[in-house]
Amino acid sequence: MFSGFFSKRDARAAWLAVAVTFPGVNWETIDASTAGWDHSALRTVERFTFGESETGAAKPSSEFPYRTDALLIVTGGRIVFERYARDTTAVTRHFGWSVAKSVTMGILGTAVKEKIVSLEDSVSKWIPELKGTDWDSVKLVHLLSMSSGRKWNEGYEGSPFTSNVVAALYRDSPSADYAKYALTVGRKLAEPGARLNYASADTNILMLCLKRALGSKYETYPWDKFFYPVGMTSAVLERDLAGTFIGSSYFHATARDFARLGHLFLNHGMWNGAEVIPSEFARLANEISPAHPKKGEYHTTQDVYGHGWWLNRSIPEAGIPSAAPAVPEDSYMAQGHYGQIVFVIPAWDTVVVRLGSDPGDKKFDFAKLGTLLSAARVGMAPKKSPGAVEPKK
Amino acid sequence: MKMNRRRSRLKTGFIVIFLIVGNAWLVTRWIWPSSVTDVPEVLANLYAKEFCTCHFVGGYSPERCLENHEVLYPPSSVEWNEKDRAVVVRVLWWTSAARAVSERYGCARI
Repeated sequence: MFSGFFSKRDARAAWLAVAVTFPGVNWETIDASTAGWDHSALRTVERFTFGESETGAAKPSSEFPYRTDALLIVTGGRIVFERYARDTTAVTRHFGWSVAKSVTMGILGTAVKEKIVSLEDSVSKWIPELKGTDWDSVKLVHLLSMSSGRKWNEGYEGSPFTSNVVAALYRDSPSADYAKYALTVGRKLAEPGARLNYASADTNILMLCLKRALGSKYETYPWDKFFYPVGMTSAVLERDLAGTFIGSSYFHATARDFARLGHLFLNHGMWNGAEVIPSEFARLANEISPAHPKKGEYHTTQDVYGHGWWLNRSIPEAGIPSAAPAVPEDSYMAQGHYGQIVFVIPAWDTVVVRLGSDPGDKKFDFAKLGTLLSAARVGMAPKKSPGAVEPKK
Repeated sequence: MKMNRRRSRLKTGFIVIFLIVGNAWLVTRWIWPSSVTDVPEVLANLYAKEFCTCHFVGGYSPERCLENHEVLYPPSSVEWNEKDRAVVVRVLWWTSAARAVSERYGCARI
């Protein structure tokens, strides 16, 4: 009976007064308008993400070449919107591809919390056979921020012959021991911290360091210290033949467990009152890589990398626009091949998970998704930061 | 006489082409992580590992799992065993196999 008295902004303010929750085995759901979302605008988000026309009919692939498997919106730890498609359900373990890099960052965070490793540790501290080489000056923080300064081609199916990733995952010999291959081909191109090069190699060398540091605990450590404390019970982390987790690419989980990952970082590493990763470490996710704004070799020139996560901020002096300009610039994302994204939006207290099986040559339009999400977020019109750069059309 | 000259030119031409292609292959093999002759190995390993994860970890249907990489050269054969949770894929002359190892560790090539 009082609904007529409330403006959209009041609704948002009322939502902010609702305490954040942490999902247990089951998730709470919440009505979209109570959580500060506009129902009809959310329907537009849904239609766009799943490629439907105004009438709800599926668009032809010439108009919508993407394949969305899941869209999940979580605000304050409660599910606002959830939909699955193409044989995917709430219990399907979906591939995350490079979202795994953000998961690896979380696992590293638990090891930092337990003082097993430090970000300032040299790679050669944990891989002693590298002592006396130029790996001595490469620290774990450089690996985390994609600034080891090493040679690596992060191409995929578009450049199969020149791609180190293709060889490392699918050639017999390199794939048997991914980290060893990465160390072999990764000759020094720049000083550590001076050059950004998004490289799965860096993440897998980091995984090898963790393996050496954790010893016999390594096999179960991700589940004991990271996945289970936040309820990510569906987590699958695959290994190479040397027994090292492929921390760059092979993490699989349900959409809800991907949302748990985002919700943990949204809450600075805390889960229901318990510290899973130190808050100062969790904040690194949204801290720009020291190698920016220098241009990297590949697609990273158009995106901004943090530490294990992509950032939504722009770098005006480097001419780099924000990835989703309509979404607040302090947002950050875990992104994976074929259109996976875990979008952490602190200003909206929200995590958005979109999972897909997009064709390799079609990049899902996350900027448009961000624009539609922004339109659906009640009373949260995006503010343009001074000097923000418009994205190239 | 003319026929001999023509044959000799053809022979030389073939040798030159062979040397160019051979050298190009050697150079790319040395510089690039993979070469054309590695295609069956790469594709068979890719199909085997990703089919295994997609079907046995993700629970998707075999048809859907093959569709995920439909843009690439198709496999010559794909055989999977639900009981052993294993798959064998052949692409041209290369055969690759993968198996679901455990609930936590998903799939690995064998």
